[in-house]
Amino acid sequence: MGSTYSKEAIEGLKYGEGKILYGDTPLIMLKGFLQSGVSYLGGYPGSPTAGLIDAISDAYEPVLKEMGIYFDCSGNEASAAALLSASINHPIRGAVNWKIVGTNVASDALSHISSSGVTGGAMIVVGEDYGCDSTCVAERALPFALKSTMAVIDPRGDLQHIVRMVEEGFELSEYTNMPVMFLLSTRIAHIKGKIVCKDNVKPKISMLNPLNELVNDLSKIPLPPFTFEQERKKFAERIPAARRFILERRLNEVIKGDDSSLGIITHGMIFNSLMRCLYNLGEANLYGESRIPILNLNITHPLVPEEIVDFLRDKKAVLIVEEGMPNLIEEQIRAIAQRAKLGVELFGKDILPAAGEYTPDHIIKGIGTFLLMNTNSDYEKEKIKEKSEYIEKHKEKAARFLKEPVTKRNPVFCTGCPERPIFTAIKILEEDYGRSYYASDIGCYSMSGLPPFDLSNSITGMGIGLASANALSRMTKKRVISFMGDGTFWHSGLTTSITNAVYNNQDAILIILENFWTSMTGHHENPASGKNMRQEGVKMDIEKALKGAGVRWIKKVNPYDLKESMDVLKQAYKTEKGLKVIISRGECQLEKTRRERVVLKRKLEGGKRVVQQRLGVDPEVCTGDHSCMRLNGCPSLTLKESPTVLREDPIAYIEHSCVGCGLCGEIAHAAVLCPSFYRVEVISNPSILDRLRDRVNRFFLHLLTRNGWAN
Amino acid sequence: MKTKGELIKILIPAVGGQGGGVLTEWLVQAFTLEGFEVQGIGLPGLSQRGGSTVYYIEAYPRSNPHKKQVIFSQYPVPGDVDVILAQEFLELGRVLEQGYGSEKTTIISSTHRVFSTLEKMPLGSGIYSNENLIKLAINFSSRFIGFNALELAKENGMDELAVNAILLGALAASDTLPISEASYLKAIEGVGVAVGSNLRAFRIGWEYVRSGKYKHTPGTEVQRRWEDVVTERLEKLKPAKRERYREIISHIEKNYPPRLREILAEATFRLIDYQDVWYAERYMDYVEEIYQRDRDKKKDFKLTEFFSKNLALMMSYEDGIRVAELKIKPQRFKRIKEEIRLRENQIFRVIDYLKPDAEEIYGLLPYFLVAPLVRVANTRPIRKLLSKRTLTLEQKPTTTSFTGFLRLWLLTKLKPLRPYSYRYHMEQKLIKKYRRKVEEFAGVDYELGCIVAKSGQIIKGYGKVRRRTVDAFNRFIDNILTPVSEFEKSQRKGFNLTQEIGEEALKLILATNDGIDKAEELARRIISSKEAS
Repeated sequence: MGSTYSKEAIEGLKYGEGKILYGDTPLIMLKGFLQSGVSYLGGYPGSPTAGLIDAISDAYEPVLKEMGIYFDCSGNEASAAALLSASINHPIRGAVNWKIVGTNVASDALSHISSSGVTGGAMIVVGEDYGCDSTCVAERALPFALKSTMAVIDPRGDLQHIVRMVEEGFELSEYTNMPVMFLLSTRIAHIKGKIVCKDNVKPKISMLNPLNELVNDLSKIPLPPFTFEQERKKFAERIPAARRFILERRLNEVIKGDDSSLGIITHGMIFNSLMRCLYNLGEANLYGESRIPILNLNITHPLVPEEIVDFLRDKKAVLIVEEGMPNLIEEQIRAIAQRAKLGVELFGKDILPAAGEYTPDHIIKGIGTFLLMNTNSDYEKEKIKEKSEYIEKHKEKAARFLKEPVTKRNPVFCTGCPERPIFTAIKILEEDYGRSYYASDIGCYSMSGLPPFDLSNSITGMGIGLASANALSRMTKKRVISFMGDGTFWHSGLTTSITNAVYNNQDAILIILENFWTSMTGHHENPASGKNMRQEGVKMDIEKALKGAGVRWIKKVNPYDLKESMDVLKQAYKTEKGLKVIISRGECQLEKTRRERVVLKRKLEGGKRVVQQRLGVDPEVCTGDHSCMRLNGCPSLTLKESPTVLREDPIAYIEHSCVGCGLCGEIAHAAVLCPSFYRVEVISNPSILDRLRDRVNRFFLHLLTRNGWAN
Repeated sequence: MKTKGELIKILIPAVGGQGGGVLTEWLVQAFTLEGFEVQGIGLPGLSQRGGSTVYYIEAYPRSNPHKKQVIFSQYPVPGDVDVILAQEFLELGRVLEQGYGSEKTTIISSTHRVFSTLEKMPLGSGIYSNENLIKLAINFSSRFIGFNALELAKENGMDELAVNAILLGALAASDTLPISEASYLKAIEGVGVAVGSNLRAFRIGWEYVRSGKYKHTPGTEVQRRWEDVVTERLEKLKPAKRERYREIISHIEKNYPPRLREILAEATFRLIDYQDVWYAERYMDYVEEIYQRDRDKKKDFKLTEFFSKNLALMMSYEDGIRVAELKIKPQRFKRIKEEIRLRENQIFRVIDYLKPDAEEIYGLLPYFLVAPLVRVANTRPIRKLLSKRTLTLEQKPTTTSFTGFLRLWLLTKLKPLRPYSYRYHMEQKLIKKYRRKVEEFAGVDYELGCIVAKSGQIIKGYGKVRRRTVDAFNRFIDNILTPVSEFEKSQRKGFNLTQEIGEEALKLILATNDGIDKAEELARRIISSKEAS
């Protein structure tokens, strides 16, 4: 992978006290780790935490290594979570990260580690993505933390605050012996801004300063009878300690308002949106001063009953603005109020939407309803109504303005992508072989379920696609085809799907799309890349692993050779029994282009012979039926006005961004579409032989046409 | 201009992977240089793969009177955005549809389009209407600066990534933000991405807006002069045919309104080039028949327009001879050379992907030979035998090489024999049906005639695609328009229903491959429900 961060940005990680560091959230989080004296870092890339892995891997050589910090290129989220074991018995700090659904993969390790408890600060950065901006389901991390008893930090949207929360988080973890979850929601994960730095802390125990003696504490092992004691400690010691720490350090924030009868409780980044809504309603200014008192929870687990009771006491009505379901914060607050026998009326999901991302329009409407219920003056009511409903009305007006809604734009496979041709091949074969049951998986190829391919009956999680079809495939006459990327294969696909399929004699076709990178997250190395993220060489072979697992039918194809892929697919279609694995090998085009561009430039400048190719469509030959588009989906294959006024519909056109993979031409052949496509080969710095051949050719062409080919 | 004391909110709708992140970074740095507290947010993730994405910036002067830290929002608020800087026109439409634009918004947008997959897929045109987008932009802004930044980039020899810096330059020139030109320039240098060309692109955008040139766009294409239309085509014809073409042109000038002239000039040119002058003259005769009905209407000649366009395309159906001819035209190689920007020390080769199927091949053979064979082949047992096999002739000739060229050149020499071919015979039958049906329906109701004339547009493609579209056309006429219009005829209440169903059916057919099935189903359902009531 090429580096994401500039040298200067990475150098900034070394800044000391008082210096200002500009950067994005991942860089600034990493700075927070360094200021906290971490000894190890790890994680599995996924949105929105992938940036953190980029920052760590870019900083590994220049910064982390010389501080003795270990960076683990974790095989999956479970391996990343398992790293935290280092902190169980020893005062070693560490942090790991993954996307929200990765928590499911990690949960076994998390349960055990949080039962044992930690001595050194252990932090899990979870990419909370309740708005689903990536391939994930809408779910929150909070319930996980509750059931395993981990503290949860949900910072508001401010970089300086985020760094403080990272530092406090490690201390909280050590003070309470709990691992701490740090929620990094999508928008928080992508802020660009600045912080004032502190000095980095060199870890006392590190790769440079290894432990001489190991602590062996039986009571930390989650086996009976110790597990019972661990469970007792969680609630008798760790949670109370956390509450003390939160109060002492004032980790949650209170805004004292003038109106003593009302209040709002919220959490994390929702605070920022809430403040903007209150500002727009004329209830607050831009600097965090509000008429209505606000309690903002930066720590969403555990809640501190004293703090909550203090806030609720003597108030008439309080609104709880909590994003996500289950609404554990609201339910706990209701229980706290009930136990303290407070007369306050609580509002929450009864006036705010239950599920879904809390965007400002939802929040402002909720606040409006809350205020209307708690205002007596008609004049005030009118004002509140007008202001709180403005956004909704404005949105409606805009949405209704056009009869025809603006066309959606779904993500697409990149130009030259080696994964796309396989879906084309399957699509073309559908004409003769009918539709199959397509069990998709998580990766770029999840997009095969979108137009133009529409090849996905299910997505059930990472590495589970093939396994997910195991029962159904025995109850349907449809063929089962599953897709899996190389990253997913090594993440968990080999064990969860492949060994399971062989063990159960599953009749299915598995297509492994080996592109040598974990591309969707932004090109991270994976075991297929031949090196890890620390840039150390590794040798791992999918085919050998398959053979070792007992797969007999294995075929390799070159994805750009559509005919070959179609032939192999046909063979697989005709073989009924057992697991058929097709490995389609072609490097991720983005990564390949990025690397080759430099080489190409050097060659061209050095006067070396270079042949480049791109595809084209003859505008006069194309009749504009767009069959090619329905089988392709290449971004550079697009539309253009027809050169003749006679044709109303646009014709196909290949943009300059074409990388010359040739798929569109192959499609025209394989699906017998049209003669519009052509390939151009441009020879730069041609050899003498090239020139001679060209000269002779032109001579003959001129003889034939008499139209100047000789020039 | 926004004054220095206010909170500034900027929304940047973009297409994933087109450099929106860099654009955001420039603005963040420029604001920082001007002494602002600033927050920039991007949302990559899935959307980075060519999907819709947005970036959002908030900025507030550091030296504000309150001396306090401002609380930024990570979400834009609908109706509360000061500037929308749009990288692409449909994405502008999307955020406006979501309510982000309002009377306080300044919009600066490139009007170029990156078509989405859903726009590319329909058989007809799925392109979202530009007029709609312009209307949206005007109605949900206080100021709208729209121009085709991609075109501008290309004119200046730059690629699509230059769009970002051009837009930044346009924003700077619009004086919307309290950022000096020097800070913008310094920000571009500071971010360090393709500094040289981005500085140049910034300047281009800046000057384009400062000079007021953007006001002439979008969509004010200059009507091409009639003389140019004619000369351009005359030059392309063989000298021997020019005089006859001129005659046809003067006939068009004398008898047809300006609205139809360019279409007819193009159509007759196309047909002379395709076959011969007599073929073009025959076309004019056919057009004349339909134009009779339009002439007295003094309307916008819609019927003749649809008819003349589609008739010309049907008469110049793409057979092997036509394709070969188009593939070896000198203009083609000239165009390709321009497109690849061929330089001095480069040689180029063109390789074509040709794969005619059996019908396209035997279609070139004489009718009297093929017709009996086809009749036999269409009997059931033989059909069964043949159905599994698709005979095709796959080849990838290097058309720029003598041998490849020669193959196609020889094929073009069959042109005089075309009128005797099997395919020609079958195509003329189709054309006859089209002419007859337009005439028939126009006789019943003008609007219905227009729908039939328009439906010729369905027919396109090669090989099996064309057979499918011809089939869709036939079914549209025979199974939809005919029964529905006959039903309405019996009701004697005009033809509103037929018009409605006809238009809806056309939309369906042009949308997806199985559109004709849906359209037939629609017609059946409506008729049976009407009959029941």
